[in-house]
Amino acid sequence: MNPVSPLGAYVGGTPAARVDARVKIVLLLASTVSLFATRASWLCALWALVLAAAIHCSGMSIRTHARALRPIAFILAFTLLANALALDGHGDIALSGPVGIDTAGALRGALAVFRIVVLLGLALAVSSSTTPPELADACVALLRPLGRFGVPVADIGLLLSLALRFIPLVSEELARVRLAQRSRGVDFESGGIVRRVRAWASVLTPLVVSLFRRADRLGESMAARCYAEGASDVAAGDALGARDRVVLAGGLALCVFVPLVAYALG
Amino acid sequence: MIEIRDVSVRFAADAAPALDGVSLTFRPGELVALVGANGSGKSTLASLLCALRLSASGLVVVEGIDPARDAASRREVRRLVGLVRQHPADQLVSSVVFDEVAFGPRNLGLSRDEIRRRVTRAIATVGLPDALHADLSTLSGGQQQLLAIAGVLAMEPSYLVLDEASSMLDASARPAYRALLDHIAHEGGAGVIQVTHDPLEVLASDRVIVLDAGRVAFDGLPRELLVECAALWDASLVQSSSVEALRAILRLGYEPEAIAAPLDPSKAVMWLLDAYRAGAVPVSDVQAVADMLVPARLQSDVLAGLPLELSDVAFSYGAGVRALAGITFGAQAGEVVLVAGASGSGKSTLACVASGLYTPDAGTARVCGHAPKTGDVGVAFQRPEDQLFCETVRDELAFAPRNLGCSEGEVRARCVHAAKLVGIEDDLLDRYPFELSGGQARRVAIASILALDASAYILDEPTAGLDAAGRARLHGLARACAQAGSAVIVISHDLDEWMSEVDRVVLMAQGSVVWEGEPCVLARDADAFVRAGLRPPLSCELLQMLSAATEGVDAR
Repeated sequence: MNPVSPLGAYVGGTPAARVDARVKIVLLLASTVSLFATRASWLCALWALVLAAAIHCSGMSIRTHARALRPIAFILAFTLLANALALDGHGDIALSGPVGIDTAGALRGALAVFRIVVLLGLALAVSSSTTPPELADACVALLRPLGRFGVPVADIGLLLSLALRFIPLVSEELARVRLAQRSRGVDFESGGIVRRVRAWASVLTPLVVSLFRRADRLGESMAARCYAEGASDVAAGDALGARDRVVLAGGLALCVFVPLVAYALG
Repeated sequence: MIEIRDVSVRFAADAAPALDGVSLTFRPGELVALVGANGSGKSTLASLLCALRLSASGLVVVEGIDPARDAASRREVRRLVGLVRQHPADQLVSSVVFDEVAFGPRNLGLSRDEIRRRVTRAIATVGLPDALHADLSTLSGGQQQLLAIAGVLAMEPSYLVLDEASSMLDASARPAYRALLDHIAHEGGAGVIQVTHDPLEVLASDRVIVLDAGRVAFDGLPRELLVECAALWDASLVQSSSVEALRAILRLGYEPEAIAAPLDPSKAVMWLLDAYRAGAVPVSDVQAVADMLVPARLQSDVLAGLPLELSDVAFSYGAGVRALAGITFGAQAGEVVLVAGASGSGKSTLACVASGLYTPDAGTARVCGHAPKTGDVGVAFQRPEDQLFCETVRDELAFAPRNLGCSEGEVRARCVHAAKLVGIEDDLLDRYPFELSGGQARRVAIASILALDASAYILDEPTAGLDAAGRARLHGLARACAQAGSAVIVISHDLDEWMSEVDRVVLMAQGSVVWEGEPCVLARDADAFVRAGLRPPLSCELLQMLSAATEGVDAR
């Protein structure tokens, strides 16, 4: 059974899954900056190639990616339209009356949509090739230098780890209580807003109460295992392997190279 | 040594004390059982031992350290005395095996190599597979509980306190759990204090302490409690026919090899057989012990009509996960049926299909001749108290009938009936459900389902986590519902507990029925357990040993 990830299903055994999570996070951040630094030019096509390569290496299907885009499809379409439509008559292509299409705006909108699609795709490639605990550990390892400035990195790490542990527990509990209330005659599917809110209250109330109780008991158990806030240290991560270093260097070089060339060309 | 001297704890000024002048000592290498009814102060004592709570009066000293002195002493006592609780969800902090076990050692500030060494060793001690990077979701509930024990062992404590740590374990996982505690105490040399309601865990201990209303009612050998203080034993521990048999054999003159040796019902039965073969014990005595192990045949009035009927029902969760594979099953009005089987055999899915919560992929589920709709079958899922949410117990009971659209008069009548069935007193009706004790909340939750006034009820592990008195009440409740004319189906993995309380047993494996019949027949049918992939309950194993030896005599 694959571990449940809040960010999408984990696909193991792929080339991307073998890359150290710290490298993937750094590259995701670097490519975010680089993507927005790349001026509109044919070099943007390179980013499409990068995305295609990332999808391929993470073993995900195009369809999964398309599905992930669905929730933001409306915002993307709106962005495109808002940029492309001219309502004050300055549009290059007149449609009717003052309404026309502004080609420069359309291009700007298309570029924005393109950037979001690529970014989301890359983020998805990272989350599908990394287990949640790996992600949490990598975040903590990367934050570790901040410990010197008084940032409670170990506590942040524990917080992430507890959150990851509780997400599947809560969703399981939610399903359990909902089933139980259905058997007591609660109807979740019909009725007006008020009725539905009331129906969900019968699930969320006990869920929240039991979560608070559980948090209490968990806190006690942690104290019993000698946990003291801010007292524990974050272990340094293992050194990166040769492959990870090559991936990191290559990726970073690309992130620097693409915007620079685009700038030189433009 | 842990020394407790004249300790009293009171949670509120006007409340009865949770602990009242308790003095006890605990030594390393000793396996101690701490028993008593819910609310007798066991958990309070457990939290004092590991310095999660400090006593208001009296003295607690662990290996010469007083946790009340300062924070450093408290921390040292917490390192010396490990605590394992009832639910894995209350104590596991990570979703990866290694990180979970390493949590305590990391808090102790140990080196990386030392942490790795301790984690590997603790996991090997509890007998979990050596998959350090496995995700916790791949472990069963029982394995997660073992992991919690490993997490505490990795801190290398001198004492281990287990607060009802086995109460959520399957019956089949218990023998290994008892062996583990025996190993930790007698080979590892740690002092083990287990809070429990399970008589077999008490028998396997070196010493037993009974708490009653915050006072020590007994402190001595398990066999003294079993034989000389039989009434106290029966009031404090879950009833078990194997233990009854053991008591009878002790009265016939059985003496374990050493006065302090742990008592094992199997060894007692072997002694009985030897004594019988040597002519020291008459066959009638052997027969009498065997009879204790056979569940009595109940003379229930089974009414005509089959309120609940499943025929050839198949059900799958998504692709490939087949939970029910063409099951045919029925329950009659007036009977209590036990549905048992290993985890994953489809018992809980059966409940959901029979009550109409899930629609079967194939076959039909019928309640009183029609497809089940909400309210036809009342289902009490595991830990039903988790679904309480109203302001008062009264509203909780009225919730289901109101949802079904009953008139207020009808609602009131159903609430009164349900409250009477489970024994909820009037003064409880206006209480806030979240303030109730464990046993009370369980009964209120079950009453809120009985208020459906259904023709069939399904109770999934209704006694899990309850004390002896709470269990006995629920056994009576299942019977009372049946006598009121409903079909009652109890789902449980604990055959030993339920076999003497039900009219019929249905064993499930891989989504189908592999055996069904009367409990007294099942007790003698070893093959049935094999087919269900279950280890026979201890009482059945003992019965088989006795029957094998006396069969020839019966024939004569």
